[in-house]
Amino acid sequence: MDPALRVDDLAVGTRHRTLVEGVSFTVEAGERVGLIGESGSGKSLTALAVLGLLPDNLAATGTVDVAGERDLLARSDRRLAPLRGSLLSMVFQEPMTALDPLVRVGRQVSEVVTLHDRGVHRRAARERAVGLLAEVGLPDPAAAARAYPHQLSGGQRQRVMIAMALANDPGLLVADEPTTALDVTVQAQVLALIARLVERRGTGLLFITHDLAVVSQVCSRVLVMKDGALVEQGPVAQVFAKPAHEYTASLLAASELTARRAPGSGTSSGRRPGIESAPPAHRPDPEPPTGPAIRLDDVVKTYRRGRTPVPALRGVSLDVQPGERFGLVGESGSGKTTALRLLAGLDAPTSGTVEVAGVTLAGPRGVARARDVARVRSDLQMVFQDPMGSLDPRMTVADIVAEPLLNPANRRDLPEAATRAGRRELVRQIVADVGLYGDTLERYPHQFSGGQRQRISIARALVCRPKVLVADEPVSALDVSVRAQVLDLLARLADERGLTLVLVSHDLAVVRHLCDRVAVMRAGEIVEQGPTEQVWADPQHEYTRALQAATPVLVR
Amino acid sequence: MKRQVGWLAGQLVATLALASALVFVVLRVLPGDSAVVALGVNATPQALAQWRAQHGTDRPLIAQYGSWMGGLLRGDFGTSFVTGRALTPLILDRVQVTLIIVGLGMLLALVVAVPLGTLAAVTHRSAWGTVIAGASQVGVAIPNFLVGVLLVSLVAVHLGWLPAGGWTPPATNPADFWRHVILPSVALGTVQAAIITRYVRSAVLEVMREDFLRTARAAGRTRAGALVRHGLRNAGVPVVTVVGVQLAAMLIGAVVVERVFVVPGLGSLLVDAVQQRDLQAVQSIVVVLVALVVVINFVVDLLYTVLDPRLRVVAR
Repeated sequence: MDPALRVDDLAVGTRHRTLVEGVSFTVEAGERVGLIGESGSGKSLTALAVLGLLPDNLAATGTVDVAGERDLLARSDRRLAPLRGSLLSMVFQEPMTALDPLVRVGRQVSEVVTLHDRGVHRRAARERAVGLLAEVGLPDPAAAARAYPHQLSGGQRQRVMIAMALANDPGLLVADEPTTALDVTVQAQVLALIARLVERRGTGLLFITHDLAVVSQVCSRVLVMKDGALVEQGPVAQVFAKPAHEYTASLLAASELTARRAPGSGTSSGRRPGIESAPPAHRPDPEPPTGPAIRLDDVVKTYRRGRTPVPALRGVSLDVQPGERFGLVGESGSGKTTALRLLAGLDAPTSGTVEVAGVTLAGPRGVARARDVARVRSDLQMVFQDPMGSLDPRMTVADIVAEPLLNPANRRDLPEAATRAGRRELVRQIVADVGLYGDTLERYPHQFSGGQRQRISIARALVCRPKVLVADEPVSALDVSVRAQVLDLLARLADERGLTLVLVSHDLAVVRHLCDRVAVMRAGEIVEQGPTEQVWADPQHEYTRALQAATPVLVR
Repeated sequence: MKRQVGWLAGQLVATLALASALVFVVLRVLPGDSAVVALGVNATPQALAQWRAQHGTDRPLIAQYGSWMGGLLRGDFGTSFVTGRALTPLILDRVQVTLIIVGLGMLLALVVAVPLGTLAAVTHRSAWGTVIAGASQVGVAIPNFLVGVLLVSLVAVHLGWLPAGGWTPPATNPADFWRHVILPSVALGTVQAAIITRYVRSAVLEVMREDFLRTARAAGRTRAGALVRHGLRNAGVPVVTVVGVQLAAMLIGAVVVERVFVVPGLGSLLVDAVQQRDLQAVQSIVVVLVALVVVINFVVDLLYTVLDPRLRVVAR
């Protein structure tokens, strides 16, 4: 029997630059193969080349055979198109943008059927679409078929994508980070669905991901890519247990986040040679205990959509002590973001009390009083998820980091920040302290990698020496190898500066790596809170258990 | 959907009411006494007073506005201060002319711009795309009266194929009507075609980067097939916006082309009325133009909801 996919000496590049070179591998019929590597390693380009979907400015050479069809790369778009969607198909990462927003999803699925079989009656195709939507586990598939993409959740859309990809029982399914944009529990369901469907159909699976734990759960064989070349391949059990290549070993090491060490012990695992930290720029004076750094007391926040009230927080209470590292875990819609907005003074609670560093944030009509917000802003700073989007692309790093100091309220305790030269010196210190060196200051955000950009965000947040640092999913957009470094940087800075750290994440493992205490949120409520190790080892609430069970674990 | 249409219709009525009041007040505040313009600077105070009494401009503003609005609601624009003739048939006649050349001009522009803009986007890396983009750039820069003058000298005077100007109503002599309507419409449409080509090009380019086009290709469509089935409708939303704005601009801007081709449109009527301080005519024409613009925007808003299901939520 022909293999589902045979790639021989594949190269992808522009006219001037080679991006992928000498890639050869096979996926046997019905086999599930993982393709791992960091961003920029060429995983996605390899997949797109197989399907003939490379961007216009890229070209591929080599041979690609799929399920008995020879040399796909030599075919024109017109001759290749009939194979896509029938012989081989693909599921993409972004469920939010991968479906046509103007066409009902049932129609989009039935089109894949009629496109490859002109003989099918429209009604038969429609019924088949509903059947497929049922097979991918959408509740009420008939209603789902009539929905437009924006009326479905991310997980539901990804199920629709899978239905489209499998509509014609292809010999090969390529899935490019299909669950990266999904919540943990939804990810677990979608992974199980993909595994079940390809098994039932005998479809070969090429599964691209940066998440080694996911590979260990879904795939039997793994390919490791780095800088456009395959560095290692073999059975998952063997490669993960005894990686032959140094790069694979480092990926594996970075993927396993350990539990947080005892408070105050500091961290060292993330330090790399060359990223030696500068001596602490200053040590905050030990302050007399003044009560919690953050206090939420029975906080309710209700938004309005038209006349319909939408509850975002339904009575949330928590205390974070000064110097504590607190984790807030939950999936989309859990109320994490609303809680953050309240802490930052971007919104005021509908009822209940929000207190940050002793200042009560409240105000009429859901807006916190500006005076209070200004007081809190110098004590509480934030690091956001997307290091790409949250930095102004037209500003130099020096200007970005100095910006908080332009607000006089933020430099009350930093008289030297009143002058340009003084601000420059403060910026220089903090940028060195987050591990960025050289001509960093005069460069622009796009000249940095994701991890470096997140360091810039951290520098910006810390330049006015806040007491509380709130980090919203600070590592979820980063590669695994960088993830540990950024987390350890946060831990070190928190220790050195006596910071109170609030880490918001969907990933229980990330929180466990960094935090002393954790609160698990669902649907606007805290379902469980306590010391991280206790919650991790002995979760009391069923949702915490579900979340833990759904978190992919690296099996070695 | 029904609620949305109701909401839009309400907006239409409110806009018109506001616009009519605004036009009325602004025209009264502006300098220039209609009576003096009508009778000349040497007219006696008695004659002026008599003229004002006759035309009702000596009444309180509220009363003047009330009787004007009352007339409008009955479809009566009143009588001209200058000629003393009823304005309604005149304005309706002129509106028709303007709507015809603007409508044909826009139709022509779309017929040219949509395929050309799409082609320019698809071939944006090749010579073709560059040529189209460059040509449309030049087209945007040319004022439409210049196109008009060029057309007159080339097609009418030099080649003698079509009349250089004038107008025949379609009902009187259809063949003659078409001979007169072609050049003004082409003059209006050329510049619009250039502008809209550019918007279509950028809208299609934008859409070509969308993930769902890649999905459609992964499902088995060719590059062109994916663009036709999923791309063009998505590109339509921004293009509809521009077409709406341009239509409104054309209604007013048509006056220049009307002058070049001696076409009796609404724009020429407005310019004449302003010169003669014929307040009654000016305010009525302006309200008609506002009504047309509001209707265009109304249709554009409706088209959005037809094109894009995401916009079908009940407004506010």
